[in-house]
Amino acid sequence: MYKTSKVIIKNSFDSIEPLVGYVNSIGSLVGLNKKEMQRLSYALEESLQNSISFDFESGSEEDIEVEITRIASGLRVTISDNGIPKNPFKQSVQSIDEMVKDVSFESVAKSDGDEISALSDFVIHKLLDKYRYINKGKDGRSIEMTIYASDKKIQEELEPELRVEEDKFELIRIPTKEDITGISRLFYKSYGYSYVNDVVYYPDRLATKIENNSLISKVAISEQNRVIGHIALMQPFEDAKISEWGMAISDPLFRGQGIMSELISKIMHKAKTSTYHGIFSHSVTNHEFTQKICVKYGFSDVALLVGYAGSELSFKNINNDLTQRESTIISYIALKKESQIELFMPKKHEQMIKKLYNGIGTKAIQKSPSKKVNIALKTELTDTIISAINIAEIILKSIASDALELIKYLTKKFSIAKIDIIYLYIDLEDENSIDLVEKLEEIGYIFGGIFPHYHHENALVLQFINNIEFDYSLIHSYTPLAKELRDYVQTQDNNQIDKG
Amino acid sequence: MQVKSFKEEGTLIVAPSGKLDTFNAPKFGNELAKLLEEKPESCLLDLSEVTFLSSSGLQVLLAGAKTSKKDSIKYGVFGMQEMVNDVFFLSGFNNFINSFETKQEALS
Repeated sequence: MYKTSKVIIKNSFDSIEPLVGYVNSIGSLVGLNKKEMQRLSYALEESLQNSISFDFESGSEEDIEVEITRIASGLRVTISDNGIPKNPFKQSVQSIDEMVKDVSFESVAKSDGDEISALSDFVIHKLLDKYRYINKGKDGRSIEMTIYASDKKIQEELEPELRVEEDKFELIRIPTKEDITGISRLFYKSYGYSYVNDVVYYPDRLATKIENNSLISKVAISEQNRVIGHIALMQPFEDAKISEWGMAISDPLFRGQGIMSELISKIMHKAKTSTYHGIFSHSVTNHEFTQKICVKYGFSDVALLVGYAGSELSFKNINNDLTQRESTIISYIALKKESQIELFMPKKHEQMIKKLYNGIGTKAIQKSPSKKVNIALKTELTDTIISAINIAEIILKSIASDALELIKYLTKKFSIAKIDIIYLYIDLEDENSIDLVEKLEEIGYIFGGIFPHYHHENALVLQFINNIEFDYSLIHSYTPLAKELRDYVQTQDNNQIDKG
Repeated sequence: MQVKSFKEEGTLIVAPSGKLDTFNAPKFGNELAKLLEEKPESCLLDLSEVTFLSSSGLQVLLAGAKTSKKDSIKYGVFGMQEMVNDVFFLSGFNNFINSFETKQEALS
């Protein structure tokens, strides 16, 4: 079975076509259909062409490494090279409308790539399921392209009519191979195709994640051996020290039989005996049910991600049409408690950050500035577009003097690509973050909260809302802290709908 | 890449073939610019033989639309292959350039 391969090509146009042919042959092996292969081929060719045309010194001969990896239900292509990063200082990125205004035959002829790059990224991200740019500082850069095989997705199928009165909840177990399709079907029955984490619709991907322990899953099974409930701990990224509690669902036909309580109790027991530092949950805010459960199990709210999920999120069996993108509250429980930590907290948010840490049992103390601040040579960051929910994440790994300009550039690029929200994660243990946060707020980023062990031991969450008005009165917050956090975020959001 | 151009029912038809990629798009841009300098009444791009439309190619199509608008030339594209059509619509360029499935439809 094909797993992975690596191809090294030179930065010449002649290398592109054979490479695309090779990637297509692997696409066919892993079950991509014609359309998916066309999309991946286009993205690959477009990206390499622009890179070869604009990102290398003229006449230089450089290597471009392309890694093609089979993932559950799809393919990931990673392109790595030492090309020149796009020039963030030029600030020439334009919106599509501005581009229309300025474009001419003369401008096309003398383009040096920055304008084309914005348009190119815009098109590519629409073709793929995931598109990620990794700036590795002095070690170059990588682009990751992910596409999933749609025919591996669970399809609506007729099930034999269920006579609930003849069936009831029997047990909780680790899913067997036969249960996996039942999990996908259960999500489809409840959410259609609108569930935020689309892995649930791909039985192959679910099975792989369960096999490699990145998903610790439990299912509720009925007497007639049907999957009637599910819950999981999910690793948000490779080597994460935290896990997400979620994918919680029970068949509405079996409600009232204590299935969810039983599932939660089992998964929390599993969490407490794991090696994770903490567990977090994304609770939706169009109702308070999940938030109440989190409180019951000792979670405390740490962040409000405004508009995290699309407004198309629907609940087939709950009459709850969303009129705006769905915001989520991140709640966290520390499994390895730290009683006290020293952080560089931006003065403006110091009190709120302290409150949020206090909620999870940690006393946050303002760290004194050093006499001589260490600053990285080059900023390192990863940016990812999650096409399924039209958001982007920027993980700022190290801060150098070019950090602000890089983020400005990415923000503009994502805005043009009509990404709804950008979430930015900054290290609260990096002294340089204090200055940077202030400057980022000047360009429209607002406070979101904290997120322990999310790419940093102590991450500060900022968010950029791309011209969307939110009605904060529709964000239901259950705990007093969540309410305070919502109000706090609201005061900073200049785009909100004023209900007063 | 080759570019053919001819008149049909008083309309200038410009038909590039092959890839409108970063390498070829500027050359096609030059040719299209020269053809539009003659200020035809209308100009249609036959994209049926275009196998790849890069973002540079998209910009050339747009530059053609801008020049045409300035000179009151009726301008549009037709006959796009499936992937080219996808890219054209995904980029939102259908909001700025008229597109048709067939030549007959475009000429009418």
